[in-house]
Amino acid sequence: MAVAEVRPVLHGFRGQEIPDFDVIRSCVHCGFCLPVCPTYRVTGRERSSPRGRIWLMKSIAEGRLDLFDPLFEEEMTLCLDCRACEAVCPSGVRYGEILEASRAQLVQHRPQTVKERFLRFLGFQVLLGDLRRFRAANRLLRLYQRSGLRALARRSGLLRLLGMEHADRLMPEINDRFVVADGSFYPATGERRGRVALFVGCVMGTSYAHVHEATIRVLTRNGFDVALIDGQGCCGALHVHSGDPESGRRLARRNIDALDSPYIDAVIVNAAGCSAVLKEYPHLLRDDHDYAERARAFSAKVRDVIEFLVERGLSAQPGPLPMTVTYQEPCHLAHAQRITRQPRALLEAIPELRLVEMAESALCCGSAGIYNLLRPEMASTLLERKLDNALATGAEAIVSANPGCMLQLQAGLRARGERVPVLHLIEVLDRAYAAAPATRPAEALAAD
Amino acid sequence: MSEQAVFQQALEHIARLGEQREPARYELDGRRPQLAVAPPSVAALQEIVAVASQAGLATVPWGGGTQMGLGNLPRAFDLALDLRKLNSIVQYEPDDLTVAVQAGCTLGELSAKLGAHGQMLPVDCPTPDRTTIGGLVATGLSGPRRYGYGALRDLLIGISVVLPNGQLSRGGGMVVKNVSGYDMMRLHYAALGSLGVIVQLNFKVIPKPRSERTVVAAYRRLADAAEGALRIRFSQLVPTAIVLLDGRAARVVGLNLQGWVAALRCEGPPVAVQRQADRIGEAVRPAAERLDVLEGGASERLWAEISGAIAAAPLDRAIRVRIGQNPSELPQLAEEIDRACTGLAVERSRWLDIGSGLCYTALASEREADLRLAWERLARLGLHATLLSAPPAVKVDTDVFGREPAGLAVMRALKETFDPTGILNPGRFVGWL
Amino acid sequence: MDRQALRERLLRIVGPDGIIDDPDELLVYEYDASDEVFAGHHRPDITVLPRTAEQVQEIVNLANEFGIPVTPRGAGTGLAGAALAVRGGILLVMTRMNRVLEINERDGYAIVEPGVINLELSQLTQPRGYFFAPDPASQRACTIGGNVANNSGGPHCLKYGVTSNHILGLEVVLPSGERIWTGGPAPESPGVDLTGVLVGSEGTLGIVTKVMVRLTRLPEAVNVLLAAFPDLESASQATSAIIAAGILPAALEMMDQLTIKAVEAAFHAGYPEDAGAVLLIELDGLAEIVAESAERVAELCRQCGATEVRVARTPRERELLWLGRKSAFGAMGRLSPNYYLVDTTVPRTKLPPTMRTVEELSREYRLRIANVFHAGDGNLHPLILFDRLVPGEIERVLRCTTDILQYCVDVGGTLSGEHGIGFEKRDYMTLIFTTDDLCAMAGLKRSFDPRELFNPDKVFPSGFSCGEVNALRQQALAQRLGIEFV
Repeated sequence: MAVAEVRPVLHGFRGQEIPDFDVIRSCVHCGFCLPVCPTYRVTGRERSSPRGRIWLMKSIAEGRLDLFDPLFEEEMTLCLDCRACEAVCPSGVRYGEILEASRAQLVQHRPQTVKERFLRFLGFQVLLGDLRRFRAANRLLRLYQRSGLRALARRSGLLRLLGMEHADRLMPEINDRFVVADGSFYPATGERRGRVALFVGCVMGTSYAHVHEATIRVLTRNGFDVALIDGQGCCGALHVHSGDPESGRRLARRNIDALDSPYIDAVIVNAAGCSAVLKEYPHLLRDDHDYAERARAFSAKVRDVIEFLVERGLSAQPGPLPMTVTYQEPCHLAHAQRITRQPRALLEAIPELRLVEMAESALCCGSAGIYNLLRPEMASTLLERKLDNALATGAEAIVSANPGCMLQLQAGLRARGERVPVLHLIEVLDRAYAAAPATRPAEALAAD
Repeated sequence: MSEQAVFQQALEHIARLGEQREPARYELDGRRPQLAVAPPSVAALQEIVAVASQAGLATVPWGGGTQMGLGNLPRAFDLALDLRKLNSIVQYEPDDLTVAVQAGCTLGELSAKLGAHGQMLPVDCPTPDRTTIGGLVATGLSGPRRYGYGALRDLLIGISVVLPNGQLSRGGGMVVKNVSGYDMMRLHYAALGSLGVIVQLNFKVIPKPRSERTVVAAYRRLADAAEGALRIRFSQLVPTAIVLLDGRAARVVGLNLQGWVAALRCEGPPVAVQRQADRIGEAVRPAAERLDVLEGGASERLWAEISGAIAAAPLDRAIRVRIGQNPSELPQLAEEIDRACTGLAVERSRWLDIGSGLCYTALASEREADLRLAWERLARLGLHATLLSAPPAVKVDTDVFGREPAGLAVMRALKETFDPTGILNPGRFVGWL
Repeated sequence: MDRQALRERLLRIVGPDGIIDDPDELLVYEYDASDEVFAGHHRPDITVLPRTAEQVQEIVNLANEFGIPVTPRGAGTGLAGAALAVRGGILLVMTRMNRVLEINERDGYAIVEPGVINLELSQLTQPRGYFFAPDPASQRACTIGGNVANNSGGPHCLKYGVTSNHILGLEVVLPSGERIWTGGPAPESPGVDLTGVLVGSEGTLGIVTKVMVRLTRLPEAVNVLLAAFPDLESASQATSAIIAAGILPAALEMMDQLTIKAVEAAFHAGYPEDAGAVLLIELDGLAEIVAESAERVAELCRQCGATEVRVARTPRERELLWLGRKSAFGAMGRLSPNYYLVDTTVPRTKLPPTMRTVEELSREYRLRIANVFHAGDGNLHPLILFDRLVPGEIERVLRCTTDILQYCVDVGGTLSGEHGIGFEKRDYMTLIFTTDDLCAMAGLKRSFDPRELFNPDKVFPSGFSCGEVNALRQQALAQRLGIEFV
C-alpha cells in the first residue's frame, strides 16, 4: 500500500526570524515532553505535542511541509508556550525560541485579516506600547465596572452581540489606585542589605497594585531599598510570544535604558511572565550591536521576587498564618525559569501555614498570556482541570505568582460560584508579616 | 515401504544411536515403551528425534521420572528418551552468577557445584539426586519459594531445544538481561516437552543465603492462621515462602501439630534473618496457640518435605490437585475443597501457598470412583485447577489440566508448527495436544 | 486496496476523532525515538487511535479483511524503531487507552490499559504502599503497553527483574482477531505460557489491550550512594566486588566522564564533574539489611579506589541523583546533534575489557563515545556521538557499532539488553543466532500470525525465510538412512 502523496510545498521559512535549524535538530524525539504538554494531554494527538510541533517545523525547514499548511498554523497557535516541555527536555531544546520564531514567520508572511491587524495594533501598540495609555484605558474600564454600565451591558445582551462575553468574564477587577513607576523610593526598614528596582509592568500596576504594595513592604522589611525607576514600560512578553519580536525588542531596549543602573543590585519582578522574558532579552537582542552586551548584563540582574527572597534569605521572621493553601505553578516560573523549590520554601517558612500540593500543579491553567482570549475552548478545558485539582485539596486559598494565572483562576472560580480566593504568594507572605512582631533580628530563612 | 516397516527400521536405527535401557523402568500411566534409549550426545539426540518424527514414533523425554504423574494419558508410547547421559555442567561462571547445564544433570549435582561457590538455584526438592534440571523446567512446578525468588522461569536466561525436525534451536544466552529475539525459554517452560526436547538450560543463580529460619505457628482456626499470614504478605517484611497447612498436611511433612499451621521462611544474613523472624513471630503470635522457630537444617528439611508433598510424583490410590487463586481468597478455597469432598470416602490434606496464590490438596481413597468425583468437583474451583498426579483410571476421559485455557487455538498452532507429526508426548499436554 | 472503503469502515469503528489520514498530519507518525538516520522515516497510510479493546479487535478484523499490516505504537519512546509502520498500513496508537481499571492492594496487582504511563502507575500506587518495578529511563513518558512489547528493563531490574517478571496476565487481540486473557493473578495457569511469549515480542504476535501487572511492595528502607572513581576500570571492579560479596543492590548504575558533564549541564544533579566515572548504587529492603549493606558497599568502593562516597540523605537528593541518570540519553543532545545508542549486554566480569575496547574503538573511528549503563547486570549503553551533516560520520558510526556488537558477542554477550531489536537492529540478529535458531522463532511467529500482518519487518533479519531449509534437511536425512518416510 503506497503512502499518499504529500501536497506540493511552495512556502518555506524565509526573511526575518527564521527558526534556528540547529535548535530544531537538537530534538532527538525521545518523547519525554509528551506527558507534560497540556495540549497533548487533552488531544492525545502527536501533532499537538512539542515533539510533533518540532517535527512540523523540521518538515518545513526540509521542504516537506508548506509554511501555510493550516495544520501548522493551527498547532503554532494551539501551543500555550507554557514551556513545560523545556523543563523536562534532556536535550535542552530551546522550544520557546523556535516556537516564537515560527509564530513570527506566520505573522510576517501569512495574510492577516483586518480584524486581526486592528486588534494587534490596539492591544500591542496602543495600549502596551505606552503604559500611560494602558492606565487611561484601565480607568475607563474601572468606570465601566463600577458605574453600572457593565451590569447594563450584561443584562442587555450587548456583550453577546459583540462577541465580547468571554473577554468580559476574564476582565480583572481594576484597583482603585495604581502603582506607577514614577521615581518613588522606599527605604529598607531594619538592617539594610541592598537596593533593588521593582519592575512595575502593565496589569500588575493597575489590577494588582495591591500586590506591588505588598512586594514593597516585604522587600523593605527584609532590608532592601526599593526604587520605582521611571521610564520603564511593558516587558514585551505578549509581543514576543505572539510572533512580534520587533515590538518586543523596542520595549526591551527601553527597559534596559531605564533600569540598567549601577546603583541597584537586582531588578525585581513579581509577575512570572515578565521575569521570564526579561531574562530572555539577551536572546531577543542577540543581533543588536548596541544592546547585545547590555542585555546580558541587565538580565543577569533580573530576579523573580520569589527567587530573590530565597536566594538572599529572609532576615525577618514572618508571623503565624493559620490557613491551608495550595500552590499553582505559573508556567513561566516553573518551566521557563525552573523556579519550583523556592515558592514552596517561602510558604513553608510561614508558621502554621499548611501547604497541600494539588495534582498536576505544573500543568498550565490555560491562561498563557492572551491565549485564553484566542483559544477559549482549549483554555477552558485546561482551566476546569486545574480548578478540579486545586479544589480537591480543600485549600482555603489558591496561591500563585503570575497575573495571567490569577486572572484565569479567578474567572473560573467566579463562574463556578466558588469563594476560594486566589492570592499572589507575596500577598500571603505580606499577611504573615502583618501578623508578626515589628522587629525580629534572627534570620528566618537562611540564604541559598 | 509399509508403515510397519518404516516403524521397525526407525526403532532399530534409534537403538543404535544411544545406550539401550530396560523399557519396564519407564512405565507411564501403566504403559511401557517399545524402546528406551539414552542418547550419549546432543548430535545423537538430534538424529533420534528427527527419525522418530519422520517415522511417527510416540516419544516421551525422560529425566529422573520423579514428576511423571503430571500429564494426560499418552495417546501412544513407543520410545522413552532418557536424557540423563546429557548431564554435564557446560559452563559455570561464579563471578557472573550464571550457569549453563544440560537437561539431564540432577539438581543435586548442580547444587553441589553451585554450593561450593556459595550459590544456588532456589528450588526445594526431596529427591535432588533423581530430579533433573530438564524435568524441573519441562513440568514447571515451583514450590513455595517462588514467592521470594520467583519461579525457575524467572531465572532462566537461555535454552537449547532439539525440535522434532532434528534442528537445534537456541534462545536467550548467557547474560542476565536480554531482549534479542523471542523468549524461547518461556515457550518451552512448563510445556511438558511437547514442543521440543530440552537439552540445555542457562540460569542466573542466586547467592546462597547465609542462614535461614522458619517461623511455625499453630492456630485453632483457619481464619486466624490466614489473617496472620496475609498480614505478613501485605507488610514490608520479606519472607521467602509463606504456607498454611491443615493438620493432616502438617503431619505429612513431619510437624505434629493440630488445627492450622502457618510456616514462614526467612533467609539472608544471620542478623537480618533473626530480626525478621522475631518481627514475624511478634506479628503472628497473638492468635497463635503455639509458636516455634526452626533454624538452619531443620528449616531446610521442612521445606524439602513440603515441596515433596506437593510435587507430581506418580501415585496409587491418591490424587494431588493444584488450584490457583488470589492469595487473599485461598482460605475460602480451602473451605470449598472441604465442601467438595463431602459424601466422599477421601482423606484430604491441604497446603495453601499464600505467598504465590496456589493451593495444593492431596486426596487419598481406596475408591477410585470417589477420587474421580472429587477431581471433577475440584476442577471447577479457583482460577485454574490441575490434576498433578492420579492413578491412570482417574485420568481416563479427563483433561488433567482442567478447564480449557484461553488461547488453545494458538497452542494448537504451535504444536502443529513445531511437532507436525505429533510425536512428542502425544496427547499428554493441555487439551490433549 | 480500496483506501476510501477502509477509511469508511474505520470511521464507523472509532469515529472521526479516532482517525488521522491527512498526509501532512501523518508526518508526525513517521518517527519514534530511534535515530532517523538509521531507522528512516516511515509514514503509515492511516493512524487510528482506539479507545477500547473491542475497537482494537474490530480494527484487527478489518486489517485481516483488507490484508493490510497493523503496527501498534505507545508513546513512541522506543529506541529500536519497533513502532515504525515500515510497510505502511495502519498505525495503531494505543495512548488513548489509558485507564487504570483496578488496583488490588490485598493481592498486589493492578489491571491497566496499555496507554497508562509507567511512572504514573507507580505514582498512583505509591500512596497505597506499592510500585511498579520496571523503570526504564523513559518511564515519565513511556507506556505500560510499550514496556510489555519491549520487555523493558531499567535500573531497578537488577534486583526486581525485567517487565516479564512483573506481568501476571494480558488481554490481547491475536492476529486471528481472537481476543483472549492469558495468565491471571494466580501463577502457573496450565498450557503454554502465552503471557511469557507475548512479553517482549514487540507487537509482532498480538496487540495488548489490558495488562495485569504485579505491584511490588515499597521497601521499608532505601539508601542511595554515589561513588566517584578515577576511571571506568576501577568502577567496574567495584561493581564486580559488590556482586561477588553477595550483595544485591536494587540498582547499580555507571556513568563516565562525558555523561557526567552532560548531565550536570542539564540538571545540576550534584555529580562530581572531575570524576572519571561514578557509580550510583541503590540499596533497599529491610532497614537492618540496608544499613549493613550500605556500609559494606561504601567500604568495597573505597577499596577499589573510590575517591569519594556520598550518601543521599533526603528523598529530594535521591530524586536528583536519579533524575540525572534517567535523563542521561536525552542530555546527549547537548553534546552533539545526533547520537547512536548501542544497547548490549555482556557477562558482568567482561565489563572491564569491554570498556577498554569501546575506548579503543572510539579512538580508532574518531568518534566520541559516552557511557551510561546498568553495570550491575552488564547491560552497557555506549552512546556514539556524531553529526549527520558531517560527511562520512554516519558510515563510521555504523562500522563502529558493528565492531562493538561483534566484540560483545565474542565475549558471550548479546545484541540488546532492554531496548529491543525492532527495525533497526534486526540485521544484527545473525551475529548471535543461527538459521536454525531463527527458523524456530519464525515458527513461533507463524503460529500466531501466518499472514505476517502484525508489525511486519521487525525482529527478523531482512529477507529472512526458512521454508526451504526444512525440506532440504528432511530429504538429506531420508537419503542418509535409506528410509523412505511416508
